[in-house]
Amino acid sequence: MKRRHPIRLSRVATYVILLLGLALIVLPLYITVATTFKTPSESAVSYFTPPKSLYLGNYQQILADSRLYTAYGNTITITVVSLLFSVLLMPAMSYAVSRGRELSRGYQLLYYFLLVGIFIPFQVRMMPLVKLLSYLNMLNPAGIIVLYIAHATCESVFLYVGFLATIPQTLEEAAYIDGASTMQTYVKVILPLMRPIIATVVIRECLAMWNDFLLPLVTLNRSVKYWTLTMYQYNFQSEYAVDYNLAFSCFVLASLPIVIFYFIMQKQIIGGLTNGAVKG
Amino acid sequence: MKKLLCILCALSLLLTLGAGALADGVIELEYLNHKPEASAIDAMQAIIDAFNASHPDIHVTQTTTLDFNTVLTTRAQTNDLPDLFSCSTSSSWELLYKDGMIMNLDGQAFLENVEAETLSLSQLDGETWRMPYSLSCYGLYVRTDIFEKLGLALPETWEDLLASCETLKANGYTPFIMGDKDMGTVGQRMERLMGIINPDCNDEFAAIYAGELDPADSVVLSVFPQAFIDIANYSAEDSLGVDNEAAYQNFVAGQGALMIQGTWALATLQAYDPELQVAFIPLPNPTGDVAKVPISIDTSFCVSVNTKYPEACLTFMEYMSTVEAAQVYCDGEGSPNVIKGVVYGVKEFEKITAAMNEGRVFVSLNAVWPSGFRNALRDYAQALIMDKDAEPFVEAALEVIGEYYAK
Amino acid sequence: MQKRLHVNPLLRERRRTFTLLILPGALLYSVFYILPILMGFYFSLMDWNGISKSYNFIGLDNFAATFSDKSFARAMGFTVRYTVLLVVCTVLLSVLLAVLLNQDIRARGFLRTMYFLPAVLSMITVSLVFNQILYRVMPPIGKALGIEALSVNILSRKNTAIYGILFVHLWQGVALPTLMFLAALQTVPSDLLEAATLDGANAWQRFVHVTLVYLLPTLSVVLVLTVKSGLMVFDYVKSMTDGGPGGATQSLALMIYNNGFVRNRYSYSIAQAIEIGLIISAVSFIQIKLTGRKKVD
Repeated sequence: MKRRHPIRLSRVATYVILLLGLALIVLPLYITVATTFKTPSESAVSYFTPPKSLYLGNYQQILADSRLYTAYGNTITITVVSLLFSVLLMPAMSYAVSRGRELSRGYQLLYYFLLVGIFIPFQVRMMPLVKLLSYLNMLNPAGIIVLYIAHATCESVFLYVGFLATIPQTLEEAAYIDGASTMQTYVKVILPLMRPIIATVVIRECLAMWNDFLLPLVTLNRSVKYWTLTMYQYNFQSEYAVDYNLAFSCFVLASLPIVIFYFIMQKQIIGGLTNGAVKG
Repeated sequence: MKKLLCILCALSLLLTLGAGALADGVIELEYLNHKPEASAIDAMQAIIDAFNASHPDIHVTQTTTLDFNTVLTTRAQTNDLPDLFSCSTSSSWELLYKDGMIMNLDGQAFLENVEAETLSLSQLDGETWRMPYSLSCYGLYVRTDIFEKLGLALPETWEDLLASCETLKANGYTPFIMGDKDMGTVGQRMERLMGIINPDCNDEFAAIYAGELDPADSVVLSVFPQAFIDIANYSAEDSLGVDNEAAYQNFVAGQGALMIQGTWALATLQAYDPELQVAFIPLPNPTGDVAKVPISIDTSFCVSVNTKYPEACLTFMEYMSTVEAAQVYCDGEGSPNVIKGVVYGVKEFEKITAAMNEGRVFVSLNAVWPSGFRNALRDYAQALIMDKDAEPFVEAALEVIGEYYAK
Repeated sequence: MQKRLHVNPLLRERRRTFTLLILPGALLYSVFYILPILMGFYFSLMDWNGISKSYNFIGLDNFAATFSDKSFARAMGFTVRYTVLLVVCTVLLSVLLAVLLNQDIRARGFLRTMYFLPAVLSMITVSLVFNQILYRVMPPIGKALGIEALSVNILSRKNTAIYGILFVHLWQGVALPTLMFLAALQTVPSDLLEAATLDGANAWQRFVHVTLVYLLPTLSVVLVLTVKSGLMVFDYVKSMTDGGPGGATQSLALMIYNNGFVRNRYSYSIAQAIEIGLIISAVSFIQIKLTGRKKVD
């Protein structure tokens, strides 16, 4: 969609503002990355100058830390597996709730029940949750996966049901008339239509889980073997507080995978987020 | 495709569930370290490695944590304390012992290796629930080179201290370098200073609560706020935006000459500058009375009551109580050690050590104050630095006393 | 409204399938989400400090105590103020950026990618990095520019600390709403805009009378998300000021956490959390009702 602006000024203004904003985003990132290639004494001189020579000592030290790789492994595993199961369960449940509302009021009540958790602050259930997980021997990555799936319910159901409301039931009716069972209708007709919103939800959940801090802090503290990337970064900050060049290197390395992934998949990610957003 | 996904799911779940398989017969013990500093963690790891090598039937693993308070609390709640853990002094952990979660160590032979006085200090109602290991002291770091340059003597009284501050200020220095952004630091300073003013502060507060003592007659509540404000007046204007690390750096860089901290800080300061000219002296008493040094048992070891291998745990405790192990910890972590025979000679701590030897010490209030009290009050101490107004602090203190001494 | 399906014999089959589809998710949710909440409710009626084995039933005392708690009122004041600022700035900035990014400009794709990048990073990373920047990098700049307020770490003064946290929150938080508004802008039918231009409307009038209507559904979603994000702000405050200086920036979520884990007033913190949860639900409910009415057909 093109807009024609006869006023040149606004074009210039557009660029100026956008570039200003860009600078605001890039500058802190530049400072962070530049700092990782400097020694503490170099940083003490100036933060803005590019590093004289690429000092690799910081990165070497972190790459030699086996806990970094453990953290990578845990975070990736937790995120991926949770997403897989979430996609398996949530759209299905939302479909049933969304269409079931026609059949009986019970489903509407179930819908409200599934949403009720949205506004309850995490702190209310944090301690009891830890107690529960410990009792069930689930204070480990596998248990967290189950937890994240449950946690994803409120927001996903809200978005999925909202999306499904915009899909007319004519396609389903046609399928029924053709003799398809409800399950077949769901899988073959509805699910493909839900792709944009599923993409949206997956991306949101993926970011939320990857960067989650508080929950792993209280549940995965049992052993270094369980740490996620956020815990690793936070711990680094307190263990090596003296050397923030080192700490920054830790942050950069921890964020690198998701940033790279983002740049590769940006079209899909941005597209996915905005598609679902408009309808939802 | 779907099938493949399902198999992948199942596999990944199995992988995460499968913790490392253990060799049969080896007892696995978990030790949780309460310290975040790399020096302490490395020291413990060296000791543990030596222990594992000499005890093939026991394998100890060290866990470190970001937020010891949260971690131990949640694990205690879920009845899942680690077999072994270390802790500093806090009534919160005493509560755990009272609830029967920590093993009673009365009568254990290895306790003979611990200095008797410290051992009795570390007990609760005469019962031994932990093996004290190292002490931390709290006091005043002074840049001796700056003081020499200005012809100042090390301050012995509060007046001396404030006078030195004036001289420092007149010469362009920020007298006190403080990391006031950090709540923990501020709370600790508040508690230690209150203790220096009156080591029996806990009794005072309890008496206030019981109505036996009028707040206006409270030594702590009358002297502390002004002393704290005095320090704030001689600190940097934006000390509230300076965190601990930045404070250390500024102190080493010579922006100021005084820092109120604990023995643990020296290792960090020396990491910045191994040649640092500094002396650690007792913090003068604002009331003018003799200055006592707050000491706190900084590291002590405990055994969980629910451990599956109590004998193995006690074997480890015994190993820790040997001079060899303790010396490694002392050298690496840096604090005075209470195992008999450990050689400790940090020249910067001369004055403090002298005070300790003369018995001018008292146990930090954190050990006796109600659990959570210091943390509840520290926000107001920080406000005291910010607003320099004693009244709101005293009011808040009375409220907090009312709440916490009710139990 | 949708038509009812008149397939009665198959109704049972539908119900059965629906139940099958719902059961696993609902079960997980009930056990791992709702159950802990109920347990939390239970504890809020006790006087538990979070550590001891024993506690007593004290009924609604905790809830009553919150009304005379000055720090609760203070945290509420701070959080509400913070949220209002956050919402206003987020909406204005993201709409502005969306409009600008929607223009026919070069490197549009690149700019869009870069503008969303902050949202990909973890809040912890971002706060820890900005902590250092606000302490070390900004004051020299402020001094050079002669701006007194910026010459010290803005996090060290109780009046300016809120802006430090707000800036970082916006730095990351503007990304997604911008994208959402951008997508909404693209649903505006160009023929309507052209008709308006032909009628003599300038850019601003076009925006207000044509475009705005299409932005409303997105606005309602952005409002709900941003209000929730503001009222429950935790990560940023914890890592940047930890509620300081002197408790000036203690948000509600941080206060609850501190009461529960640091000050050993566990049951009390749950009571506070429940009250806040109720308030947030009420606010969001009203919001959804109000903005939900305006729909685009």
